[in-house]
Amino acid sequence: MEKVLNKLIKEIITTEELNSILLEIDKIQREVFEKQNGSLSKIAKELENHQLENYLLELEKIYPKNPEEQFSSLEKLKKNLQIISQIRIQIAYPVSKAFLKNIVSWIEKETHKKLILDIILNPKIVGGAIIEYQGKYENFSLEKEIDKIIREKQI
Amino acid sequence: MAYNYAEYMPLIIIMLTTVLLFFLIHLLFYYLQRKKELLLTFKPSESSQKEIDKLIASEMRPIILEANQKIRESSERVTNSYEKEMQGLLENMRSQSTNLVREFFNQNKQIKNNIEKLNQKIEVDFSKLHQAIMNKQEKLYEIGENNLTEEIARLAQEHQQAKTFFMEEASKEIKISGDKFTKQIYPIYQKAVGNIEEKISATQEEIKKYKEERFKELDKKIYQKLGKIAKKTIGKVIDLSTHEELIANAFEKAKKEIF
Repeated sequence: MEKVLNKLIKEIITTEELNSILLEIDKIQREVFEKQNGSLSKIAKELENHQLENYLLELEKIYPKNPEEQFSSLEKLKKNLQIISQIRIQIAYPVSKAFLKNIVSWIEKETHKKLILDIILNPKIVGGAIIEYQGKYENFSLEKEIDKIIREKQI
Repeated sequence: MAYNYAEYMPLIIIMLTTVLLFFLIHLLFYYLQRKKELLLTFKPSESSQKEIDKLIASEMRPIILEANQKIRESSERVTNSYEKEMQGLLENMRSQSTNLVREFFNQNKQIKNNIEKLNQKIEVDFSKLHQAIMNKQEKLYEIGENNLTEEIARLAQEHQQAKTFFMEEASKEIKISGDKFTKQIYPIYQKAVGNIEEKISATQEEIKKYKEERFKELDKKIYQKLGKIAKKTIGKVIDLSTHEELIANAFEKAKKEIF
């Protein structure tokens, strides 16, 4: 179970994905009692987000047709996901998922922590990124460079 | 060497007086003892004693013999009478005990016979009673079983009839109502659902297309603007790879400052 949980956590890259998964878990928790009577494999097939599929199948193996235990395990999963540290970045426009994955892997390697990216699109910064983490703020955008050049030209 | 006897004279006198007094007292006691013997004891002479003994023996022998004879006779008589009496008593006791034993055995036999008879009677009565109970029970059981079976069968039949009746009635009612309802509602429902589904899917499709187009337009505009800005400021156009490279550089710089 821990292996599946670690895999799930590792696959989460952005806060957007995390929030989507949390909403999905809420939905599953309702369905566990209302519709499927503890049959998580049926729920897993209907998921929009397939990241939870393996976790649900594993959960059903451990607690087959036991909605109470399934519900409390999903609640624990939510808590585990909610405590993942986040790093906020402002970028000018979207980037590929593969690139974001590389960034997260690089951060994990450097900090030895699991971090996810809270991405804010801000075209004003033109390029580069503004990074906020644990109360620290650093502007590594082109906006800053452009301002600098404009100021120099005006002078 | 000359002794002075005058000095020892009182002592000699005292000693002599003491000896004299001893003899006198001894004589007095002797006299008194002698007088006492003479006054209290009469002791015949040996010859007189022999004569006295002879006389007593001759006079007393017949008396003693007679007494002995009488005592023997008396004792024999007493012994005989006791023996007879004892024999009588023993005989009586024996006969009584024999009678008692015989009586006891007779009585015991009678009791035994009585008990046997009673047992036989009880057994007979009990078997009769048992048979009667069994017969009664069997009859009751037969009656009860028959009644119960009949009752159950009757109830089951009634239940089945009622169930069938209600089921049929309910089915008819449901069928009638259902048919009516289906006839009335189904076309409306089908139409409504069809319309809604069509509308939803059409709208979703439109939204999706609009979104994609708008995003493309926005991206295009953004890229154009950014391109212009970048070209004006840093002298080159920012494509996707440059954009990602700039972000990666930002993280590299943040390594020292933030992480």
